Amino acid sequence: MSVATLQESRSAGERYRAAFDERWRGNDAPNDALIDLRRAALERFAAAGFPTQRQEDWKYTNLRRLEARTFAPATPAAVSANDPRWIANAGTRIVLVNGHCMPGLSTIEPQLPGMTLLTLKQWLERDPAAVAAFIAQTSRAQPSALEDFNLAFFEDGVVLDLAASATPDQPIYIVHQWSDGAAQVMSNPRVVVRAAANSRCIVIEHFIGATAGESFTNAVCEIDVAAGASVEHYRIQQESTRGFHIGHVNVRVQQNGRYASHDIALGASLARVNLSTTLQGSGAHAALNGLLAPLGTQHLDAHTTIDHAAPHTTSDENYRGVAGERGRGVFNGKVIVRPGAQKTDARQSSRNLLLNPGAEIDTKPELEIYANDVKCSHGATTGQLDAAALFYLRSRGLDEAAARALLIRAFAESIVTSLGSPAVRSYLEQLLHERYKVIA
Amino acid sequence: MSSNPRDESLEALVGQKYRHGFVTDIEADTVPPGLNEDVIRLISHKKGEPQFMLDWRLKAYRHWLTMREPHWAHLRIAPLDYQAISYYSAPKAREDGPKSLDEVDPKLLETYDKLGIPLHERARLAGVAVDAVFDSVSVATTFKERLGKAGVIFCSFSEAVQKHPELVEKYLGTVVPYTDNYFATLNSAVFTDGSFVFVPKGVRCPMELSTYFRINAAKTGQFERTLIVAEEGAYVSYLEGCTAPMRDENQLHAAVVELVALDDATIKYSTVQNWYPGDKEGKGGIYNFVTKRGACRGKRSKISWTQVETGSAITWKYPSCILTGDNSIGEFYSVAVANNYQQADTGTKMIHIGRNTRSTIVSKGISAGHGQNSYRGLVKVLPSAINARNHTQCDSLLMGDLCGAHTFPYMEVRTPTASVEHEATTSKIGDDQLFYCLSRGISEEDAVNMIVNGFCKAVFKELPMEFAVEAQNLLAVSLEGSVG
Repeated sequence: MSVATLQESRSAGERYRAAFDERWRGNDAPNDALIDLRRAALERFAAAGFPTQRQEDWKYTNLRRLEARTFAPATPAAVSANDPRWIANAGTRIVLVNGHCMPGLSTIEPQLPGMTLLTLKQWLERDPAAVAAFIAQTSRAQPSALEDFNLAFFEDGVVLDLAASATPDQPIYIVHQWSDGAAQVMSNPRVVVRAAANSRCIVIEHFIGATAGESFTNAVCEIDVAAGASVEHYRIQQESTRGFHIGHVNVRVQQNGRYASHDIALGASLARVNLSTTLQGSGAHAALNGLLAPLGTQHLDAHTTIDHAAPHTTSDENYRGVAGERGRGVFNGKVIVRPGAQKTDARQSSRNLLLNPGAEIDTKPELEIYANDVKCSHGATTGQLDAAALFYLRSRGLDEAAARALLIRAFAESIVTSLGSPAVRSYLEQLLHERYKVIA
Repeated sequence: MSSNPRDESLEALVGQKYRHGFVTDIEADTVPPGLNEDVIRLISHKKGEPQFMLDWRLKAYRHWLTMREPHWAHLRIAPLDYQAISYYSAPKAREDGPKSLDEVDPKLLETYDKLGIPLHERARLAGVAVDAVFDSVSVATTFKERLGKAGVIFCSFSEAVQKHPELVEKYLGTVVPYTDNYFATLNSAVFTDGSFVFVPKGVRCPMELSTYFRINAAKTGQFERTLIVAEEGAYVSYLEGCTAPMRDENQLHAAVVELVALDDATIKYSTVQNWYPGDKEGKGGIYNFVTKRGACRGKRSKISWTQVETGSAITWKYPSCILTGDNSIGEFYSVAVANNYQQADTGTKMIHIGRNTRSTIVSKGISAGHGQNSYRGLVKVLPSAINARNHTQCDSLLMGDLCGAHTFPYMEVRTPTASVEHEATTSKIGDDQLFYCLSRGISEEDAVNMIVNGFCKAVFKELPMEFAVEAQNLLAVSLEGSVG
């Protein structure tokens, strides 16, 4: 019997249970303090399996291709010490290759004042009980199957602690990178950011794919924004167009805290990000910006939830989609206003552009409101380039392709222009320029 | 808040007992509760249906057995016992059935009077033909002759099955197939009556057609089925209004409405739904699980749905348009009110298939008390729908801090020349708005009424005249007193 038929005959739960046993029970498996938590998570995943389109949350995203494959936990590998794809001068750099931190490639020493940056592996070695406590404290009542999957398999990541009132003078730049030739492997990194009261920082997560092989990234990011603190979080996803990418970002914002997200999805064959923000203290604010830019046969999905759990909280969400060729973009933005969360002000906008027949955009802005003294609005549009704007540019001497490219870039870049880091901004502008030179 | 004097006067208004709450004491020919193939055969036999109808009902029933109750809506539904429902109830008619109004059971006519349907008067003065459905069987139909002259067929569904079986067979289930959804399938198996309208080629229906539905005999689910066909170039406007007697047990109402519009035809379907919503504690009330769908099959055809939903404990209703014909138009205008413990999950589906198809959605949701109001809508543009246009406007008004307003719009666009727009807002009646009105000498009560009616104006203006007035009054009664 071939390996392929063997795989098909077993459920995802069984296949990954075998992988789990091999990883955590093999001869070289570490003595893992979290083994019980991990085992429970694995069993929950095995019982639930990969989500299917029958689940409302996954209506537009089919994971059958992901489920059909079995990925092995990736091992560390060497990469070039100066990858040209890294964003130059982005900040203090920490590089994870195949989900493992590479101290040799990182520039975290000496550490910036007021900031403690550890790898997750270091934290696990120093204080496994604290890691277990943190996971127990942050895990949700009903974790999703894929978050459980990460919990079962995670090995490394980044733990960033900001002291009260700390304001590091440069961003923290986290590179999640696949080694060249990485294939049929998975990585389950975890990033933890804890910003104490009145601190302030920019965290950049940059996902860079392997050149060819199929890989599976299932990343979790937990962010706690204490009272008066501010975290700006960029997520730049450039996996290989054969890769799978699932992201979970869980954010909790306390009184007068501020969280801003820039979620830029450019890579992967299939990508899905679940961004869940809970505004727990009055005066908390969330700003969620995103760009979905599927080309080829890419399927890019962004699911956001903003939970207004306290009065006087505000949120502003702005997502744009540009779907070309046979690409498909999915946006699902949910705003919840809990009972008693009066004076909530929530705005949401989803604007989408379809470049050609064959492309598809599915968008679903949702409001769930249980308080009356609130201002909530959302708008969603899907359409094509403005004929009048095209005509104007052509009357100024641009040929059609150049005019289209200019308008597409202008549409997509409006998400990028609000970035607080000039290095990242110019990097993304360049990227979008290249991307739409061809398609237009 | 209750110390506010204005609340007391408003509370008096909202505390009004349901006006149409009475039960007519008429001997009903009722089948014992329960559902099986024999019951379906009995219904079909009692109605003297041709074989194709019985076959269709049985196919539906067998399919229904394989289905499960849907629970995706944002609703809390007490479990329903489908075996506790009696599936057939007909008022005892004289052997031959009434030939004119004089022959109609006087007790029934009395009921209509209480409901405010002056049959003769309305027939003469307003020029409206009323096909009054009393608990499943039509008992009086007016203006048949005048419509007959125009070539319009307007009759009960049972009559259509007898007299025009070829039309029924041709169109029944072509818009809502018997496999469509749990409640539509149940309806297909057990429906007892409803209305049938056929407007032939080139005919503009000379009057507004109207049917009053009324649930009567206790523990009888109402399973109506309406089929409206407008041939090439035809026009018809259909009005549907509902009231039901007060009762404590939940009653299931699972109706199906199918509309078919051929080339250049227009169908306008208006509903004012005011079934018993349950009492202040949320006890009782009608479960209104309705499947309404229109097919714009012809070029330049148009289907317009307008609904004012103030009643029912639970409303689960998505009047939809399938825009197959090139240049066809679909419209949906809705006001939905959820007060006390009412729940509404309502909206529409616009499926764009033909070129240059256009759709407009205007939805106004009002939540008060503990009411939960959800808009759920789908706009789907298939690759063939070149230049399709959609605009959706979806507003919620919240009155009181215990109610909820929810929006679940789905937009699936697969053609680059399409333009789809969705806007939604949520608001309350502003203190500044009230203050402004009060300072102009307008009473609080009138001010609230005015603001709410203004909020709903975009929908009310789509209603036929008589309905627009009724709808405004209905809204006033359903809502006032819930403003804090």
